[in-house]
Amino acid sequence: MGSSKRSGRSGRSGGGRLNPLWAKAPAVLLRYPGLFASLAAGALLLALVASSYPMFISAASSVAVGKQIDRTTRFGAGLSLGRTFPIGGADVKAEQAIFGERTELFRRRVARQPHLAEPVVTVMAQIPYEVRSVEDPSLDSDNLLVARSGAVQHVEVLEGREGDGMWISHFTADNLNLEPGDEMIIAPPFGGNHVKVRIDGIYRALSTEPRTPYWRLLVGQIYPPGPLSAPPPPLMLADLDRISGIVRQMDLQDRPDTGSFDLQQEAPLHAARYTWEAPVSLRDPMTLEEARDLQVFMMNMNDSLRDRGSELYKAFGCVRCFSNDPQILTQMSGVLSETEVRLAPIEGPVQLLLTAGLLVALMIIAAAGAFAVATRRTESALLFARGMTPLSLGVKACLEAMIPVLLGTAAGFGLAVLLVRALGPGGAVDPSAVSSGARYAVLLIPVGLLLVGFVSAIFFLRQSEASSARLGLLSRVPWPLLMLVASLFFLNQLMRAPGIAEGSGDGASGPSISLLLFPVLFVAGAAGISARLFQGGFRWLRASSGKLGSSLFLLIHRLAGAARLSIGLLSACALALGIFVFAQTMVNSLETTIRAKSLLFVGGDVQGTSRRGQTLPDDFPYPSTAVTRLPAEGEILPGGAVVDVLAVDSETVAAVAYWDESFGPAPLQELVERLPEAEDGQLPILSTAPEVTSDASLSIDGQTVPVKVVGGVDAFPGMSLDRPVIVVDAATITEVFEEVGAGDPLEHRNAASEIWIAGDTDGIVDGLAEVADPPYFVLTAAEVRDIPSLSAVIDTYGVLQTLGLGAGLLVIVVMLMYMQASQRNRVVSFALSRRMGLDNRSHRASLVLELGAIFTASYAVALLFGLIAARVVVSNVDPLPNIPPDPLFEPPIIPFLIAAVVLAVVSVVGGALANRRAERADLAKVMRLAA
Amino acid sequence: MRRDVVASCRDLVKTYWKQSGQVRALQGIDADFFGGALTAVVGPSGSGKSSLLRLLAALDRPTAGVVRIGDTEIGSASGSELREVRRKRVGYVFQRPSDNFVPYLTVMQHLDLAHRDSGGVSDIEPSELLDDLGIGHRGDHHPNELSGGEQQRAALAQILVAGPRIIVADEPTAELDSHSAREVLTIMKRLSADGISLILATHDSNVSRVADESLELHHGVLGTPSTPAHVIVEEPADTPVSGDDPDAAWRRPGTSRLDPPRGGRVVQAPDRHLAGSTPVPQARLLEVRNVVKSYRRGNETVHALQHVDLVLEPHRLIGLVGRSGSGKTTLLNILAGWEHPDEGRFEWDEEPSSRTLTPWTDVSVVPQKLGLIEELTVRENIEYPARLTDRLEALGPEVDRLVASLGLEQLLERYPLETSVGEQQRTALARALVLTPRLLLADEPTGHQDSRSAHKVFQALRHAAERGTCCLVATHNEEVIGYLDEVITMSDGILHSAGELLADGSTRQA
Repeated sequence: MGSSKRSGRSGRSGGGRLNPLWAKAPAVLLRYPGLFASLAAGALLLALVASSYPMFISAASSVAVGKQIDRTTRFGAGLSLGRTFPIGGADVKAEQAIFGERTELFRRRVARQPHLAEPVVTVMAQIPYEVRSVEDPSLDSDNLLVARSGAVQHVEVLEGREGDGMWISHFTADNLNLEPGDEMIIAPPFGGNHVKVRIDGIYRALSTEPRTPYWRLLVGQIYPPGPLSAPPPPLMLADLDRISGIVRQMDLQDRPDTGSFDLQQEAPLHAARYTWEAPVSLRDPMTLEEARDLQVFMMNMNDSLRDRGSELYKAFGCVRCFSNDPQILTQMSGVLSETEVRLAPIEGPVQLLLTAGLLVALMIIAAAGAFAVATRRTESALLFARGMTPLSLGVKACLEAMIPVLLGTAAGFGLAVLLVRALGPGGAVDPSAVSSGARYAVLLIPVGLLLVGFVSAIFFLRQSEASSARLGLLSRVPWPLLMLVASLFFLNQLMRAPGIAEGSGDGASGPSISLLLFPVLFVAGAAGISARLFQGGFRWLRASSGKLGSSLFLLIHRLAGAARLSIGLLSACALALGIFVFAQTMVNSLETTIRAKSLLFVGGDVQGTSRRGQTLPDDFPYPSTAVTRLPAEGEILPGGAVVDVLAVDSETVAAVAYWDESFGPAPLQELVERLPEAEDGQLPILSTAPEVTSDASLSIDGQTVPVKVVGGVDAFPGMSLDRPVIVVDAATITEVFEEVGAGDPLEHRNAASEIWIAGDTDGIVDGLAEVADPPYFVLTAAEVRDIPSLSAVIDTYGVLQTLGLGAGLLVIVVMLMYMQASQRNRVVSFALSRRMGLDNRSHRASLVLELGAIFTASYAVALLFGLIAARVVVSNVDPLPNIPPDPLFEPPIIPFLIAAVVLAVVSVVGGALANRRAERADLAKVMRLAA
Repeated sequence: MRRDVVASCRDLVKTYWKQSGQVRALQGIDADFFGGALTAVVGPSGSGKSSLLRLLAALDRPTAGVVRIGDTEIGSASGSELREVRRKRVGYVFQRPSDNFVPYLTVMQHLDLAHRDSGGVSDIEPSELLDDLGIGHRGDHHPNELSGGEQQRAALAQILVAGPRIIVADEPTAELDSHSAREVLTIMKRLSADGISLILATHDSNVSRVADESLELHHGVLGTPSTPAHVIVEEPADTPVSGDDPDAAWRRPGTSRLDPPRGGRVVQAPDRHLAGSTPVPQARLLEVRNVVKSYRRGNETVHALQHVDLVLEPHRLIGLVGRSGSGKTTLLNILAGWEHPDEGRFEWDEEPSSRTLTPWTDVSVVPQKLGLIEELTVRENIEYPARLTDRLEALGPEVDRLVASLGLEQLLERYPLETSVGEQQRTALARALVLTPRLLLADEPTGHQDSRSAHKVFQALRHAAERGTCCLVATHNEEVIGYLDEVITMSDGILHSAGELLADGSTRQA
């Protein structure tokens, strides 16, 4: 152009305006909905994974806190302040006033802590009093006088009306022939006046009822210390004023000098034990952070109690008290430490999964960045030709990605909050965890943007053939093979060390990293190789596709010529689904194994310790059987091997006891039916000890009988972990020993009687609470399963399963979007093909088949290698190695079938949608733009 | 006058690795490019022209040999040095005009960007530059609102505002109508006169004619400068082209003295009638009456067709000519059935019809966006219509004939993306002809063909017409006029004339 066209000005047409590429960058991706969605999806996953971690841990810790509080009871986890104060003094009003002040002060203090409930106050007499019937004074019963807030609401009223008054247990009422309205005499044991009181009500004795949190403080005063001990004196319930009045009327004398010092015993009889308790509130579930805050509160309150200048000390640390300095008692520290023990095994694996999830999300973002350059090839080529630097292109890509990444991050955080609440462990999420989650999500925004910029810059460099060749070398590295080799390394680690490794100093154990890395690398490597074989197979088929119908012809050619991106998507789909298959199988197998082991250990679903001969009522709704155990009391001769003897009821045990076909050569029913048939004085036995033969004898307490082995088994329900077990019929062993003149071995001093029950655990436990004479101690298989390291392993695989499912869904969505985008690019060829004779049904079929083929191949690879990985790992993860059976391999069929159906439906719907897109494309506009 | 050498190649080799194997695009090229010279790089499709231009534009590095742009040796330069070359010293114009733009920036924003990227050293005022190029009123428009010629001029403006001394352009007139092509060529000559070196890959004889230097490539090797087959219309090189009469070239009475540039051979355009055959009046195949079509483009309404009347008969090869934006493609789209007119009447075989016939045996199409199936080889694409109609075996010989006539023998096992655009066009044409359609619609089937290939294309069309197909071909290619039975011109959506070409080259108005 002529020089006259050159302006005297600087010619910088931009002036002070922003570079137009930067100015327009943030809104550019609105023109490319597919890219926008891909980036948003990647950012969503990134934020979801990162922000769900603290919330998941918080929820898990809340569940753990809740469980520990349940174990300890809310009264145990709360705080209690117990003092011995005088009672029944002459100045009634003063006594009432001071009690009122103390109670009010305590209430005001605990009201500051939102997780403590309304206080419960207990006043208990120092010693039991004799209670006699007025009509027949020869009848007497010891009772302990107790006032406790709301006591009558926590007993089963048999007679009388609720409310204030004197309540006695039905034991006392039955013994003394008393009814509501009768009078009784309360007499102090060491001298003093007898006091006549009227009975207002009769309640069922607490010692016959299951233990409840409310009565925790008085467990020692309610239940016998052992199965052979008599229950302690029942409680007489009254309000404080009535108790104070009774003590006042008694005009108690001091107890005799016992010669030993015991603060409680040394306290005069006109003192009572006052206990103020603030139980943990049930209103809102407590998070771990809130539990820690509660502990700090209690410690501060304790410090205040010890501060002699404090209000609390003045109220509770009075000189007329008969005990040491006041202090807060609580088991909250135990709750916290136990919670932390349970959390420790989870945190490691969850962090590992977090890392894996972040990597997957970053890979998706990177892929979206690469896709952005690949699909906008023309723009990239132009900018390359204009000399744009990769850095500038990267910055441009960052700016373009801002809106989708921000939206995706916000959505991911929101989804994390919802998913943790809906699908998480179920516990409360602390607000600080939500804040942490938000913080992590925000911090990852620049990471995602930088990654997009970096990948875009790298792919931008591929504009040049030379750079493309150099970068292309990376794609020639056999990554799938390397992953397989790496997986073998971790497999070797698994073989050499147990899958559940010991953790750090707290003794908590958790899954080793090899348990996760081996299957992920194995499936990833297999998926990559399979994708290439898949394409190779179709290339081979291509040669002979000439005679096929148009749908198959197109399908084979499309898959044979599939771009790197679609092969990559196939690999990603196979990997995600493979992880899902693996994790699902692991969870199911572990749960099945643990369940089997716990049932074997317990014998049935529930085991109750009982007296010899104790049975459940005939109308008890669940099947039960009686078992007597002689631990380490049997000796096998010759040899002297010590064994446990398990005497069962052959008629009922098979219906109740847990049995797996791997335990023995025949069903349990068939085996136990052989036990009652004693011949020639030989005791029929089942034995877990292979060295026990029918030439052997069984000796118990020096008495020996010959045995006949009617079945060798590898395991038997209820067996000990430490010794072999000999199983006999209870009646038959008694008979055989009596025949040789020995006593009944089942009366052995160390014999333990048990009742095994089969059925729904909660239903059984509730049912036992209704039984008049329930087993003394109840153990459930569910309790056996509740072990931190086991929970950690199962939770870890549960998270992995969710991750696999989430990644699989994401890949499927990306695949569908890719199909849509492909159809947009194929709109002209499709339109021409339709004119050439390709009918709509054939085209739709080819698309459905294309998607179907990719999903089928992915799922087949996922199933095959996911199950192989699971089979290998299962045998290396024995959650309870001392308890048979060996780890069970149990792939869940139903979820896999559901997944297959879902993939089939997605193929059909996706293919139909892609076909519709092609049909509805504005061909005229496309042709006009081309012109 | 000896000019300075601004760029050079010595023993230049470029090799690509493709799915189907190694491709040696350039095999030892030696060439010098001079300051202020317009150099035409010619050769058939696949001869290596684009590869050479990419190297000269510093878009790629040689596999072997040396490429110099000034004192920068491309092979050993760093990435930043190459970017510097691309920003300030060499401007590259892409083959498709639309490829020279970012779709969401206006023309002025493109110039702003180019100016910034060059470091702002140039003192050219962008708005004046646009005025100078005749598109000053298009500064605030987006690229898709411009015609092909306007896009090409805007592309040049982008490059010029950065102030480079070398412009490399890959077939800059391939997709332009003749009028636009002449305008662009005129601008390029002026740039050359201003001292800017232009290196253009081209099939366009008009470009070759005005070039100061010429480079001919055959299979990656420099050949002797010779002229491939093309017909030259007598026109002094410095005679301004009239922009007001786009039909002028098409109305010239026959061909006159042939004036090949620089000693090239001349190939006579063949007699359009086959020996021994005489044209026979035919029943009307298709008649359209009063067709009107408008559509929205951005904020404006484009009246693509305005009361178009047209009659098509079998055994005819008809040229549809006109500038870009004249409505040719819209008319073809409507005849193909991809667009519905706002008004109009159609009669097929003299029967009224509200819809165009759709089967490939009745109407086949070669659109500009070719629509080849990427996953099928060239042979499979050609066979595809036969496959879909279960006539694959029966039409085998016809496929072979088409392949031979269109020069596709060496390409049969390649995939479309491994072939040049010109080769893809011929593949698409073969596919369109394989079922011997009644009507063939082709939109610029020779836009990316060298002259020899263009003749092959029209020979094939001629053959199809002789066999009964009515071929309606939108084209800018003046070389092929000898093949046509009739010429229809369009401008601004109006059919101006339909003239039958006589044996002596004159036209008889319909």
